[in-house]
Order: sequence, then C-alpha cells, then structure tokens
Amino acid sequence: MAFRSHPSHLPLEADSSSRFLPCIVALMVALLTFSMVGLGALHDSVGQWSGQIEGSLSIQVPPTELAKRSPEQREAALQETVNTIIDELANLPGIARIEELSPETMAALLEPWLGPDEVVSELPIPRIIEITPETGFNFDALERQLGEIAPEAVLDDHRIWIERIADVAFSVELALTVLIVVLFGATMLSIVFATKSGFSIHHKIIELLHLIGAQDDYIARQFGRHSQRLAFFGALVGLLISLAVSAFIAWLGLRAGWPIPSLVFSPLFIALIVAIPFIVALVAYLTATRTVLRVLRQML
Amino acid sequence: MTEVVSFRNVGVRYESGPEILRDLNFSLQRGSFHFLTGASGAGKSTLMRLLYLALRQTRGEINIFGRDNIRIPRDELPAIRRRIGVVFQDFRLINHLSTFENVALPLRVAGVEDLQIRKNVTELLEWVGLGDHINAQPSRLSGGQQQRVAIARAVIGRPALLLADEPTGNVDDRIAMRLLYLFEELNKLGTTVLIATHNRQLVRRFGHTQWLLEGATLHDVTQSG
Repeated sequence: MAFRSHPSHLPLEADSSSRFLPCIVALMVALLTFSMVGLGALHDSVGQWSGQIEGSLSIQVPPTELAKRSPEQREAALQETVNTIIDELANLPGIARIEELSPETMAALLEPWLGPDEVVSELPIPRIIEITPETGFNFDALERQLGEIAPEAVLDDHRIWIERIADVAFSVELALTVLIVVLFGATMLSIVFATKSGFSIHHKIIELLHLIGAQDDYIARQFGRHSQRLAFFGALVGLLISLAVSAFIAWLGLRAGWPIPSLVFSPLFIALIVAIPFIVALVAYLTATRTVLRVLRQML
Repeated sequence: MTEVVSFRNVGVRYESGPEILRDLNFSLQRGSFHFLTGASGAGKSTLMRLLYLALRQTRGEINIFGRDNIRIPRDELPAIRRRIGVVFQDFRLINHLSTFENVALPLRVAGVEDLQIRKNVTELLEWVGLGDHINAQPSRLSGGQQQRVAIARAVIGRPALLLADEPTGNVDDRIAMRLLYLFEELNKLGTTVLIATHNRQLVRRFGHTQWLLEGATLHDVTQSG
C-alpha cells in the first residue's frame, strides 16, 4: 500500500477531530498483538518443555528383592542387574545414550532430604539408569525387554506427564486462539465504528465537496486514504507498544527466574505480526470509502 | 439570449406537507443578473437548492444548461455542478483548511494542475482583497472576509451560473454594498447571477431584475421596486 504516492488533496490530517481513530486502533492492536505473542510463546514453550521431557527417561532398579542380604552382597547384586540392563538395552535401536547415575550424583540429589552424611550409602536406595532416546523411539519395545531382563525394574518414561501437558496446552491454546479471533473481530469492528463516527463530523465537508462537483469516487478516496494513514499509524504504535511490553515482561521473568524458554517464532508468525498494521490500514480504507459512498448515495 | 435555467410549473413539498414552492415559471438568461427577495422562510433557500441540484422538484420541469434535471444521470451531475458556483448562506468554509485551500477546492476536485491552481487562486484572492490572508484559517477572518473567501471559492472555477444565498446576511451595509459590486463585476465577465436576500432596501440601489417570493409563488417586482 502506497501511502504517499497519491497525497490527499484535502489535508484532513489537520482536522483535530480525527485523532481519536489512531488511539482506538493502537489500543486494539496492542491487545491483539499481545495475545498473539502470548499464544506464540505458550506454543513454543510447551513444545520445548515437551521436548525436554521426551528427551529423557529413567529406569529405577529397586533393592527390595535383596533386602535380606548384607550391604556388600546387595550392592554387588544390584550393580550386576544394572550392568546387565545397560548392556542389553544399549543395543536397542533408538537409544542415543544410556548410563547409570553415579553414587555421587545420587547422594547430591538426596542431600536436601537426607543430609550430607554417609548414611546415604548404607540405605537400600534404588539405582537410577538414565536413557536419552532418539526421535521416534519405541517405548513399548523397551518396556517389554526390560520386563524380561529385570522384572523388578520400573520404567519411568514421563509419557503420562507429556500427555497431560499436551492436553492442558491444547486447551489453553484453543482458548487463546478464540480470544485472538474475538480480539481481531473487535479490532476490525472498532475501526469500522471509529471511522464511521468520524464521518458524522465530516458530513458537512462531504456534502460541500459533493455540491461543488466532486465525483463520489474522488471524495471516497480522499477519506479512504485519510483513514488508512491514521489507522496504519495507530496500528504501528499499538504493535510497537505490545512488542515492547512483551519484551519487558520476558525480561522481568528471566530476572525473577521464571521458566521462560528462549522463544524462536516461526517466519509465518512473524509475517502475521508484521502484517497487522497493513491489514488494519486496508480495513480502514475499505470502511471509509464504503461509508462515504453510502452517505453520498443518500444525496442527489 | 440563451436560457441557462428554466422552470415550468415547478412545485416543491416536503413529504406530505403543503407546497413550499408552487407554480414557479421563470428563466435565467445567460449574462443576466437577478435578485430574489422574500421574507425569512419564504422558500428562497429551497429555490436555491433546486438550482444547485441539491433538491428535486415534486412536480414541474426544470431545465438547466439545456438538460432536464430529472433525466440527468447521477454520474453526470458533478460536471454540471462545476458550472454552478454557490455562495452558501452559512459560507460552509472548511475550518481546518487555509483560505487558499478553501478557495482551491473546486479546482482540486476538477483535477486542475497544482501550478495552475496556485496562479489562479492567488490572483483571485488578490482581486477580492484577501491577498494578505492566503494562509489564514477561516476562524481568524472577519465575517466580511469569510464571505469573500466563500465568493472566491464560488467563482474560482469560472462558473456559468453564480448563486448566492443571503450573501449580505452577516455583514454590515458598507461591506454588503462592496460584495454586491463584486457580483456585478463577475456578471460583467459573462456569469449569470442570482442573489437571494431578504434585504430589499439594499437591492433597490441596483437596477437589476427583482423577484419576490411570497405565498410560495414568485412575483416580478422590478417595476414596483
């Protein structure tokens, strides 16, 4: 859209009564953009969290079957089971890495609850084997083979959490999408109403232009371009404000230690955000020209 | 002389009310000068609206520049309106535009080049004595100056027919006389002029045709004046 290639013959921008249009547009576009960025951030965050959870699973090898043995015998038997599991499962396709959590790491993880004493090494705590699967890994095959090697071992694959997160995320994303659609509609309607109410102020000018011999299209174009400029300016301001506020909130979140992942928006999403002022300007132009033409058609 | 406008048995009523104008029969010849007088509410403005194509008669026939006004297609009306200059009773100046831009409006809507607009508007504003107020906004001008801006806007497109609705209504007698002399000057250049006014005393000082609108009908009072 060229805003300056065909300058208005009527300097309508000097008319102070028109200035409320960009304010309304800026407010509505800010709300719309803010919601869109929120949706994009949520979608991206859920994707990253799911990826992180999906990217690891663990096997617990409990010492309960060996409770009656001495600590040394128990440790030796547990270590043998762990080694067997690691050796057998390492050959499974789709496993990128498999290793046991070291006693030091276990002690460090339990330290907040049990303290730094040597007591940790004397307790019958389970051994943990961490697995990093590749994409498309067959969890059912792993579970089946683990049952054959060590029936007492427990596979914790986080799938139930992933499913729950996916359900919640889908619901929130759906709600946000509906909100965005409603906000987009409200933005367009507010542009339509703001433009129309602006024309009650300009009614006398429209009539004057009509009576001094201006063609309907000429008058409609003048007002269309005027509204287009105001709406574009308002939308641009609203967009910049919402992006600045979003960035500020993200910065506050990072400072406060919120679990905000680094957001990478898709080119389509960025194109949509950038397109907002242009869409708004187009709607304003069409609304203004149609409103003026309707007013003119009522005249002789 | 050629008829610029002719009315045959023209009547106007709003909705189901009584006729505001009835049985109007007259014509305006090219280069003629007429005064239309009558008390406030006599229907002068309604007659003017018929003439500048803002209203249609409810009966009768109006020919303007040789065209039956009812049969003129809507998209051809702007071209005909450009041949008619109108000085509105309330001036209808656009307050956020400068004097220059207000006067330039008819040329802009006609698609005249900027250079030509600048030359013509500047010359005309000098001619009506507003050369020093080119960039002033109407709200900063006196009533008489605003009136002259309205007149300049009406004549900038060199109209064949000039209509002025109560052009002396908001100014004192001295300025009113100056405005009427200005209209006479325009008339000498070939423009057909019709001035509606309730000030019959002022009109008597000029020797032009005088019509009186009374009882919804038109009377020629030139001789009796």
